[in-house]
Amino acid sequence: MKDGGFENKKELENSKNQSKSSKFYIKSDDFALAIAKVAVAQVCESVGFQSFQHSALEALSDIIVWYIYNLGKTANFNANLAGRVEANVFDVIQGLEELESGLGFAGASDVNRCVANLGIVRDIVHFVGDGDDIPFAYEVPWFPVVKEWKGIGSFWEKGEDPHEEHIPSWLPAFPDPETYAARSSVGNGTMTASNEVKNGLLRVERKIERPLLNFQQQFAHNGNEGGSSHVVGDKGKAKEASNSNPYLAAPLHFGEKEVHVSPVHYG
Amino acid sequence: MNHNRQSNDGKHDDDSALSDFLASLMDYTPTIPDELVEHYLAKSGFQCPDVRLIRLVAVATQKFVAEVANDALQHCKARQAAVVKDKREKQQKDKRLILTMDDLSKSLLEYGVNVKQQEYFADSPLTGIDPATRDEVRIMLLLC
Repeated sequence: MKDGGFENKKELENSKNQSKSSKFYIKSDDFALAIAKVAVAQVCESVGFQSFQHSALEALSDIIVWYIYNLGKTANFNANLAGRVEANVFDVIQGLEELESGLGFAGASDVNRCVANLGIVRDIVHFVGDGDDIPFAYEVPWFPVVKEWKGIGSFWEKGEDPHEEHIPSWLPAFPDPETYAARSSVGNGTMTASNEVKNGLLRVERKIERPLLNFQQQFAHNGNEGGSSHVVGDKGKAKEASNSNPYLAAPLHFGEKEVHVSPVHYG
Repeated sequence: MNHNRQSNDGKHDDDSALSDFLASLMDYTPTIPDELVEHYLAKSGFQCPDVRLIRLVAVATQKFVAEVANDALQHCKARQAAVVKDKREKQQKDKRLILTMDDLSKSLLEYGVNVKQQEYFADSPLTGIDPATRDEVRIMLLLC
């Protein structure tokens, strides 16, 4: 009985780790949730509480996050319904009415009503006027932080010339030929496109596989010149292939090329 | 014609009332920071360059939290008042007002939010039984 219980607990933990909820309860925004908890704690303190249970605070902060989210969703929906992309104050107030609809809304039945005479708006005005405002306890940075992404750069930016006519110069440039590992039998899996990995691998390659690198460089240069003694087989096809993409070149038969087999050490 | 002019004047008053209201919002600094509100509004697809609307949402949320907390406080105080008349000692200890899950779920129920917690977790057959009968039951289980 005990073992069975323990197994179940393990399975439960595993399932918790694996299952990422697809609904709104995404716990990946821990930072925002923590800020919400602090804000809720401050409001509770101003109301008169001296301490709280952790579960109660988490539940309440979850609920106000849901409240903000739902208010935004409703206001956006109202704006879209009116054929607008940007929401305005009337959308927000209508959203507020919807959220408070369980308690009823005063003044909503008048046809020629002014929005400022609505019960909800008046309540907010009273709320704002009554207490002193308590600013948030911490300095909150703008989030989520947007990292600057530096791309590879286009052909034109790099000053390179795209090898084929069908490749326009505003497309991102191909990676350098040194990073191709198609020709060797070492199989060191350097087929990556990212710059950082490429640089790291380049360093590794330079340290260990200098002969291979030189060979590949020679191959690339010779490929550009068009036709060389290194390439055995269909010369025309190989020349075309080496110009555009070494993966598409004709396959080599065993023993055609002298290849340096060296052990590859990473890290 | 007169009716039209009257309604136009009425509209101007309405507009000024609304803009006054929004202006008063900017003086008040809500406890919920603008960045948090903007983050969740952006998540929901709400798009507005006007800061006053963000403040409006923040103030409305703060008002909601304050109301819920207030109701929970009333429940807490009511419970303390019911207990105090029995023992004087408890009065000293229970002066601390604690936000409990119980009070919170009661006050949230009025707003249509159902937050229910399990009263106990039965991980063994003896959970939930008072200690007096628990020993008896334990001995009975051992014997069987």
